Amino acid sequence: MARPRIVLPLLAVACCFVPLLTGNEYYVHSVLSKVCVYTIVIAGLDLVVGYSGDVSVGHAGLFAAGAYTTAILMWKLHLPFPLAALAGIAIGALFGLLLGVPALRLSGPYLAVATIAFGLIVQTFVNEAVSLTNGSQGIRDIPPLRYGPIDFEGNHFYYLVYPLMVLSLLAVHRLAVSYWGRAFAALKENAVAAECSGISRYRYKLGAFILSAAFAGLGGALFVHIDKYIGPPTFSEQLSILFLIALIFGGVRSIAGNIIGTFLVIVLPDVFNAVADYQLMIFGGLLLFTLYFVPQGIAGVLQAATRWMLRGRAGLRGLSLPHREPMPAGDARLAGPGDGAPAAAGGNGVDAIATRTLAGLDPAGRGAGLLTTHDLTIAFGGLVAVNKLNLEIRAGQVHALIGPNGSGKSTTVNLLSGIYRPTGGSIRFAGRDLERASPHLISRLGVARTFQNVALFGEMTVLENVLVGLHHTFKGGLLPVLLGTRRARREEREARRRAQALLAFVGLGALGAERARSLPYGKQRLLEIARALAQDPAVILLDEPAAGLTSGEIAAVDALIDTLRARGIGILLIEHHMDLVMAVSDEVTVLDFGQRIARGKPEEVQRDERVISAYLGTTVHQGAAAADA
Amino acid sequence: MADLIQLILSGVALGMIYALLAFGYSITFSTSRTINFAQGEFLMLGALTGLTVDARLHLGYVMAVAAAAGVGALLGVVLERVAIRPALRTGSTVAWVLATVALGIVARNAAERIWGTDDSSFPAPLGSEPMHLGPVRVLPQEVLIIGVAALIMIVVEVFRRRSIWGKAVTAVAADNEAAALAGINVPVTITASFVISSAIAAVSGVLVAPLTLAGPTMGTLLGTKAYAVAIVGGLQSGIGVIVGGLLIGLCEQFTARYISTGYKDTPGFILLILILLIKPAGIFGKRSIKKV
Repeated sequence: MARPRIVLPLLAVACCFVPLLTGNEYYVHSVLSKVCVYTIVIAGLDLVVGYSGDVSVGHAGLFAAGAYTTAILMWKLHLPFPLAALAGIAIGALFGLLLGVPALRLSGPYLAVATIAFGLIVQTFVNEAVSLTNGSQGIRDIPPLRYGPIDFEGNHFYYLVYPLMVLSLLAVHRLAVSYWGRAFAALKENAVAAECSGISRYRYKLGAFILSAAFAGLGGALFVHIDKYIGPPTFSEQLSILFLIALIFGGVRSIAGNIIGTFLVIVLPDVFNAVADYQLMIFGGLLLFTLYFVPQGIAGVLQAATRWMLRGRAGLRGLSLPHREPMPAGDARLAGPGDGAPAAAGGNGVDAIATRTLAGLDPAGRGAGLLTTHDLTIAFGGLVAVNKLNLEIRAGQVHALIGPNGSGKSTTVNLLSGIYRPTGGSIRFAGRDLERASPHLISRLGVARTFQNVALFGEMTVLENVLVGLHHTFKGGLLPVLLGTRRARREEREARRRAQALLAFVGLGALGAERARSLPYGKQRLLEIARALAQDPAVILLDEPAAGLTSGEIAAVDALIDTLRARGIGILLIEHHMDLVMAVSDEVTVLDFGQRIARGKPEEVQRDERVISAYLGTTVHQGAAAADA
Repeated sequence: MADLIQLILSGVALGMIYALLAFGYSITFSTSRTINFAQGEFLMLGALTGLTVDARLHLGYVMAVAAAAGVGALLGVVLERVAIRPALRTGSTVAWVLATVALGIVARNAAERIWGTDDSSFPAPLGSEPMHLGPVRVLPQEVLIIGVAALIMIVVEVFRRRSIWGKAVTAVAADNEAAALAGINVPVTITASFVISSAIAAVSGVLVAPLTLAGPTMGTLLGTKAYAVAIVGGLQSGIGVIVGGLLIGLCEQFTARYISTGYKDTPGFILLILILLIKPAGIFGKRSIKKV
C-alpha cells in the first residue's frame, strides 16, 4: 500500500497552513500551538511508556527542567532562543538520565512511585531556589521571539512549533521501526532473553528515558513562549498525569494517537467548561472508560475501523487485500517444504551463520578449548547448586551436560550466560574471564544460548525475533537512525535478509510474518535456535532443545546440531532425551546435586555405576528426592 | 530538651499516619502487586465523612471512626472492581496506575461537590489543650494517633498471621496460582485486602484531621508521602512501614524546624530515591531470586 506514503507528507505540509484559515488567536495560539508543544512531550513519553513498557509519573519534572533552563537563560543571560532551547533539551536529557536510573532496577509500583518522587523533588526545587527560578513568583519577563524579519510571536508561533512537532514525531517513528525500537520491545517483553541476545539493558533503558526527556525538554523550551510566563504550580504531579492521560486516550505507539490524545486533553476542559464544577469527574470517568473499553486508545479504534472499512470495500469488489494479520498457526502453508525437516542438511541458508574468528584461536582448530570453567561454584544461601564444576567446550564439538532434575544443569547455563554470578571459580572464554560479565557482553563475545522454558518475544513476529538476535550487526548509532541515512537503511535490509536466511536454515522460512506466540511449541524451540545463531556464536548453549518435541522434530534438532558442529561451533547440550545425547555428543558430563559424577565419551558414561545409580536411584541416594529443574 | 521531645513526638505522630497509609499499601501490594494511588483521597473522604458524623450529626468521635471505616471499606470494593481487576487482566502497569489515579480525581471532585472546597476544622475528641508532662507539652490527639495506629497495625498483623483468612492472604501473596489451586478464592482475597487497606486509610483521615484541617485537598500530599514510606520501609514488610513512617515523619519535623519549612516535604523523597538506588526492596525488604 503506497498510498499513505504520499498522503501523510502531503497532509503534514497542508497542516502547516492552518493559521491562514483563521486569524483567531484562541484557535491558533491557545489550541493548535499548545497541541504541537504537548504532542512533542507525549511522543517522547510514548518511548518510555508505549515502547519500553515502563511507567513515568515524573515527566512534568523533565518538562520543567527544559522550560526553566530556557526561560532562565533567555531572561537572565539574554541568550537567543535556539541556544537556550538546546540547553533546555540538554538539561532535560540529563534529568532523564537521573529518572532512568531507577528504571534499571525497578518496575511496577516501585518505578511509578520513584518517578512521582522525582517530579515532586523538581517542583519543590523550582519553588524554593528563589534566586535562580524566582520561586513562587515565576518567570515573567521572557524576551519575545523576534529576530529581524522573523517573528514567532502570537499566531506565528505555530510556524515554529508545528515543524518541530512533525520532526519530533518523525524521529520517534524512525526510532520505533529501527533496531532501537526492537531493542525497547525486546526488553519490555523479556528482559533476560533480550540481554542474552546481546542487548544492553543499561544502554536501551537509559536511552529511552534520555531520549524521552530530550523531547520533554524541547517541549518545555517551547512551552515558555506560549504564555510568556512559567511558574511552579504548572509543573505538578497533575501535569505528569495529564501527559499519561493524553497518551492513553490517544493510544500508545501511534503518531495519530499522540496527536489526537493531546488535542483531546487540551480541548476537552474547554468543551466541558459549562460543567466546570464536574470537569474532573468527567475526566476521570472518561479515563476509566478508555482504560476499560478501549485500551488501545482512539487511534486503535480508528485503525480497527479503517481496516474494517477497507476489508468491507475490498470484499465488495472481490479484491483480496494483502494480509497484514498474522496467519493462524497450523495453516496449510506451514506444511510446505522444510516443515519439520530443517534445511540444515541441504545447506540451504547455512551461509547465514557467520563463523567468527576469535583472537588467539585457530578458527579451523577443531577441538580447541573455547569455553572452560574451573571450579565453578554457586550457592543460593546454604544450597550449593553447582559445586566446583570443571567443563570444557571445544570448537566443533558437542559437550552434553546431563543429570537428574535439580542437578544444576540449567543453573550452569545461567552461570555461563551471565544471568547468575558465580560464588566461586572461574569461566574463561577466548582469553577472557566471564565471571563478572553481563549477559549482553557474553552474547557479544560469542556465547549464545537458548532457554529451557522457551523465552521468545511472543508479541513480535518470527522474523523480528531473529532480528533481535542480529542486534549486534547494527553498527550505526542513534544519529543515522534518526536521520534515516542510507547506511541505516542498508543495515536494516541486510539484517532482514540474513534473518530470513537463518529462518530458512532452521526450517521456518515460510513463517517469518507469524506472531512468535502463535507458533507451535516445537517451532518455537527452533526459532530460539535461529535467534541464538543470529548472534554469530562461537559457542552455543542449548538448554533442552528437544524437550516437548515430537520424534520427527527431535530428528530435525539432531541434524541441526550436526550442521552446527560441522561449522566449527562449540555446543553445550543439556538434554533428557538420551538417544539424542548419545547420538550427537563428543563428550558427556554428568551432574548430580551440583557435582560432576562422571565425564567421558557417551558409551563410557552409559556404563558408569554412579551415573546409573543417580538416574535410577540406589541405596546411596535413597530418599533424596530430586527437586524440579 | 523539652522542645526536642515535643518535636520528636510530633514527628512520631505524623510518622504513624504515614505508616498507617503505607501499611495499607503493603496489604494490597502483597495480594495484587498494585498500590492504590487514590489512597490519599480515601483518607480525605474518611475525614470528611467523620466530620459530618461527628460535628454535623453529633454522634461522637467513635461513631465518626466507625462511619469512616464503613465508607472506606465500600470504597475499597469499588476501587478493586472498577480500577484494579480490569487492569490486572491487561497486565499493564500504566493501566492500574492511571485507573486508581482516575478514581482519586473523581473522589476529590465528588468531595468538593459534597462538602465544598473549603477546609474546616475537626474538633479534637480529647480536646485541643496540650497536656503538661513536666516541661513537655503534648497534644492529646498526637497520643491518640500513636495509640490507635499501633493498635490497628497490631490487630491486622495478628489477624494476618494467626487466622486462616490471614494465611489465605499470605498464600495469595506468595503465589496466586498455587493459592487458587489450593482452593483459595483469589479474587475475593484481593478484594478483601483492598477493603481492609481502604478502611485503614479512611480511619487515618479521622485520626489526622484534628491536627490538620479537613478538606478535599488534605489527602493528596499525605498519600504521596506514604508511597515514599512504603518503599523506604519495604512494601512487603509490616515492621518496615512503621520504621519508614517514623523515619520520614521525624526527618520532616527536623527539616521544617532546622532548615526551612519550604523543604519540609523533600527529605522523604530524597530518602526514597537513595533507598531505591541502594536497596530497592526497602530497608526491611528481602530480595527474591528470579528463576529463568
